[in-house]
Amino acid sequence: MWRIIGLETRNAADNMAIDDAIAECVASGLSPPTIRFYMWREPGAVSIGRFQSAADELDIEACRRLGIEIVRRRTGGGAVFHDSEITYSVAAPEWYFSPGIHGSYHEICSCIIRGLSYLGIKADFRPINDVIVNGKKISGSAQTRRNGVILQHGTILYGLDRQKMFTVLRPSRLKLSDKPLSSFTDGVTCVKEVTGASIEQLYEALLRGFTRGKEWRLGSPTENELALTKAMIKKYESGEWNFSR
Amino acid sequence: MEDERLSHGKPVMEIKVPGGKLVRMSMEDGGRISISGDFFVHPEEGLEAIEDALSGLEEGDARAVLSSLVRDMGIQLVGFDVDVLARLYEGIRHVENNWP
Repeated sequence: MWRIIGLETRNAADNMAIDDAIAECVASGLSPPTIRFYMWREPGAVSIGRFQSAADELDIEACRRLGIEIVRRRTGGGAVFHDSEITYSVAAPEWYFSPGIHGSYHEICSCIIRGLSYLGIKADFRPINDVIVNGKKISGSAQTRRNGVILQHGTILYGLDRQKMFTVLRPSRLKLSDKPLSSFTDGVTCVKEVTGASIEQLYEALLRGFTRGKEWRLGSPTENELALTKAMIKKYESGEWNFSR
Repeated sequence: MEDERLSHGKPVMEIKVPGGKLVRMSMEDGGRISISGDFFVHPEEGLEAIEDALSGLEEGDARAVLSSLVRDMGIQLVGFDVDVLARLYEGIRHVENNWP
């Protein structure tokens, strides 16, 4: 049976450490497969992918000036500005999903697409790891695998402050080269731009989208997970990890 | 799409794989190769093994070395491939040898 950890707000290092701890506990058989929904403490945070360089991807000085935390994820993928959005994580044995990395991305992203459909939003999967609405990105996900467990987390944009987003993020313009876009601001959208739903309604829709067809119960992190989280937070707070590339 | 340049005195090259990910390679002090980008590697430690292999490559075919390494270690590259890494390696060697 799946455990759902309902929407909660934490700081950046906490959010990454608890996802990591849950995945470790799922791998050792101490915890059930888990879906967690969360947000990031104001004024927001930036997470960079496991293999990115913060100096290349971000305006670090702008982050400091705006009080925006920077954290490196355990998962690959691109830099994300966590502001007005809902983040999810899924930690479960690999055999719960379609074989192969691409199939499992599609499967988990289908839960997001289903959730958005409950708000009347028609979304599509764009390989490798995006969900799009009207050709624009509304959700991105990142996955890693260790000890037979998939950890995938991703974000669903509710609101969008494009100016702030692209003050903080400095993606290479080469990333536009295979898209019919002239700027990054044209390539993203959010729930608030395509429907009048509240963020609470978005959460309810995502909860339905992720749990449909599953046996599940609401739960909280276990004592084991919290102890492991405490041990892992130092890593996610450290410059050695966050600025390692 | 490719871009090669000197950045802060270091040879750097980027490739955006169509429909895939952005991969950036640079040559650090002492010839150490560093690779970054928004790609995925499973297991994650595989990237360090790739960097080690390219950093220690004095002569030889980077493509062949990387193909063997990826096969032997069971490394999965998502959003790019060995050919992209080999092109990046050749590119930064070219920058190193040709820029003033």
